[in-house]
Amino acid sequence: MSKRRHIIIGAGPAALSAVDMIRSLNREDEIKVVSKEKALPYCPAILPYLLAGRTTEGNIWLRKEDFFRKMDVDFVGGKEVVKVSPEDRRVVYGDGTVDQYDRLLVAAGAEPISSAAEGLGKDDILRFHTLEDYRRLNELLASHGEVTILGAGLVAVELAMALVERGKKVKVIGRGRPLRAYFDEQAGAYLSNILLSQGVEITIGKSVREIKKQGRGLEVHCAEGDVFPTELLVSCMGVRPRLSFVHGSGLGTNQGILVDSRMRTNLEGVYAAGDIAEALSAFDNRPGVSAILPNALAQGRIAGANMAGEDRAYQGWLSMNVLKMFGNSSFSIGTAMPPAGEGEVLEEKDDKKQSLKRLVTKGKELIGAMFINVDLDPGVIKYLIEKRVDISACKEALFARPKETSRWLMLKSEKDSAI
Amino acid sequence: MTKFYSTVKIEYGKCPPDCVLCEEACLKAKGRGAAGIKTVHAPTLSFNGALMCNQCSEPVCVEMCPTLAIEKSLEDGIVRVNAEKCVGCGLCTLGCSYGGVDYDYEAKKSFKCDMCDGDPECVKACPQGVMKFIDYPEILRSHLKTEDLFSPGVGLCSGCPMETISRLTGRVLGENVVFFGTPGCCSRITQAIGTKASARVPTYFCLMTNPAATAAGAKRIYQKTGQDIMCVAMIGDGATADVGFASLSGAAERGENIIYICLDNEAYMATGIQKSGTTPFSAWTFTSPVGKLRAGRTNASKYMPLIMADHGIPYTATATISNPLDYARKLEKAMQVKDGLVYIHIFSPCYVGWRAPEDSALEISRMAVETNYFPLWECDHGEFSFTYRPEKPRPIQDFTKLMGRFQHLKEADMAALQAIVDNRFEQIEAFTKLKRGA
Repeated sequence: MSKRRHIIIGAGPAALSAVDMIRSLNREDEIKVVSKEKALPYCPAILPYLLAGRTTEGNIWLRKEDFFRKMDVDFVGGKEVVKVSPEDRRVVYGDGTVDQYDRLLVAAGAEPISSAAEGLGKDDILRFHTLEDYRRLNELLASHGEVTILGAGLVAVELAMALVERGKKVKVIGRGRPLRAYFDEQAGAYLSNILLSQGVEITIGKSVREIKKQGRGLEVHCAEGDVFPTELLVSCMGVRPRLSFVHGSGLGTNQGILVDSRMRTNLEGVYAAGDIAEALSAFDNRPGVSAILPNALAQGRIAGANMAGEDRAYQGWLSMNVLKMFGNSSFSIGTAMPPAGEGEVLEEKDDKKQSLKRLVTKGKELIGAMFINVDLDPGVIKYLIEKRVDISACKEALFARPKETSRWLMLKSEKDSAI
Repeated sequence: MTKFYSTVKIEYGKCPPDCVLCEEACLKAKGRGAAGIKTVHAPTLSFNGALMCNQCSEPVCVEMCPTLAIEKSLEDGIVRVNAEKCVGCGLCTLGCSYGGVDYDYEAKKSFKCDMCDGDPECVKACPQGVMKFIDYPEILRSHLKTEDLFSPGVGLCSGCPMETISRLTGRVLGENVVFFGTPGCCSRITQAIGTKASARVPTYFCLMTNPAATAAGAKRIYQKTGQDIMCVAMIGDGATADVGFASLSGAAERGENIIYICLDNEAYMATGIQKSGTTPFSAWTFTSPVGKLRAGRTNASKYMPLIMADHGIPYTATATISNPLDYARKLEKAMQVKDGLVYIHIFSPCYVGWRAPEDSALEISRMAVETNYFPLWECDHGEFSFTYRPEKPRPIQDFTKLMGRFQHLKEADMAALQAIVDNRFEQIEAFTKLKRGA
């Protein structure tokens, strides 16, 4: 078997998952991991918790140097790929040097979407996507007590929570209600209440027109006419696949790099995985970007396997989110907000307890669920959806007592399929 | 090196309704808000049981953690949350499909069962016997007398269970042994053929037609010169059932004191997948091909273990690598025998010749036992007994579907194969009911 040379662009969870998989299959192939950032590999999901002070920088590394040495992997930090040349199977780095590949995995992740109106330099409007972003914000927090966040998605909300934990005054300005990608009106209202009760100011329905410098701080001017002054401004308007360096390479892209069930792109020998990839969803095989950690891990694994010569298919991604918010729990998975006419929905809410439970089924199977302040195992619900467990016989029980019933369904499914 | 970890076995659905003694014991021991073991009482579904972390071999909670705060110890196999590193994001509770990780809202951290580091309180507190702590490694370790007798780098196909079987055999036997082998797959390890691999004990390479006689001859010399050394033959099915059968049968009949282990991959694999005496009915091989006139082997195979038991030898047994403890115990019994030949027949799946995935040997072994295709029994001085019986034997399709060598089977052949398996099992079962004298 001839030795392959793998180049992996990126060092996040998808990339590392691929490295682990390739090495579990053989030790002969060459592997080179190239990261734009100088830091050791880390997971971006840790950053809000780092900012909140729940951990320190020394504790966040997913792999250290000795890992790469032991695994015989060449890890190069601080080197950026600026061009992919599939005709001669090469990548070109920012310093002009080139590298040859047999297999290329593009796992360069996502980048923050810039706010539409930017009248100022990038040092004035902060981001919160990389370790460098965290360090810059963290330094500024030493001398500032007030932060405004543009955006109300996952990162925005997690950042808001972290800042509250740091004792800062937080304002959130967004186009829509918080976490609307995962939670709809009623659930979203409960989550907003949690933030409000922690002193977070939430303003929705605003679109930013311009940001001006004002004294030591900034002013956010909205199209609706409002002006919000602030000391610090962090833009968390969502992420999108980091595609700039693949333009002109011939790689098929839509919102992300298009991949099939083996994580293959349209170019021979080139794969993509993680936040940058547009892969097929589970069950309805719809291409889409689902930039969450569980999907990055699974896609990296499948890409790695196929790069190393195995034929393994990706089961497809599921949207999912677990967020612990000041003693409250929120969980959303799959098609939790079905379009009208799709799926059967069972729902119950309790305004006093600020709790909500929703099951979405299609035929005999669970296809989505949403729970706010309901005690159960998110992973077990995920199991029922992923394994397409037949829940038809106990749908009522699953709705009435989700914790016990889901556990029983999982145990029974495991028993029935075990040797 | 094989690693076996301790585990807790919980009987499915056997808990008394509303009993929470295990949870209470855990709460008392750990002082947390919630227990690591969870009872599952679902009266409307007529189910009362419990669950706990499976201490997975490839834990998803470990993979999912954005700060590597969860780790599986290689020493004891236990998956633990490092509370200091945990940032309380709760992602692990999403990763674990089995309800094994929990979230503590007070401490804002995840927590999970850690098997009380090997002495679980919940098991001790269960008065119903629903839970059992299986200190697997201790029991198995007690059979292991030595380090690996064979070096790394043996020339077997990756995924071949003969390597695991041979290494385990060597460790149970200890160093006071000489191995005898013949051309065939297992000589790749027992005689270190084909690479620079080696063994720490003497090995002797016989012909396929005479391994039993050769081993017997060597043993006689040792006996004559007062040396208590075990002579162990590890031979494939071709030499055992076919070309070396006369030698084996004669050695058994003469009462030669050797341990004869047959590693049965049900064909002549080393020469490229040709039918042997133990190739099962309907299986494809290159010399029992599938075509217009025939569909695999046309008649039933020779059932060697019963044939050998019928020689009246002191000890006969069947074994698989998926039941390693069972095999180790049988090997220990074999080592005690001084008054004749011991025959152990080991099921050894060959993914190459059986057309199965590279990593399927254990699963195929398990299924062979669970379908009664390869029953686990022993015959000790004439007394037959099962050493394991599946509670509910599975249909033979659960076994055949795992391998390409059976994919051509039509209904009639599948039924015939099922009948062969059933008849063989019933025959052994009948023997176990007979009580013979010593």
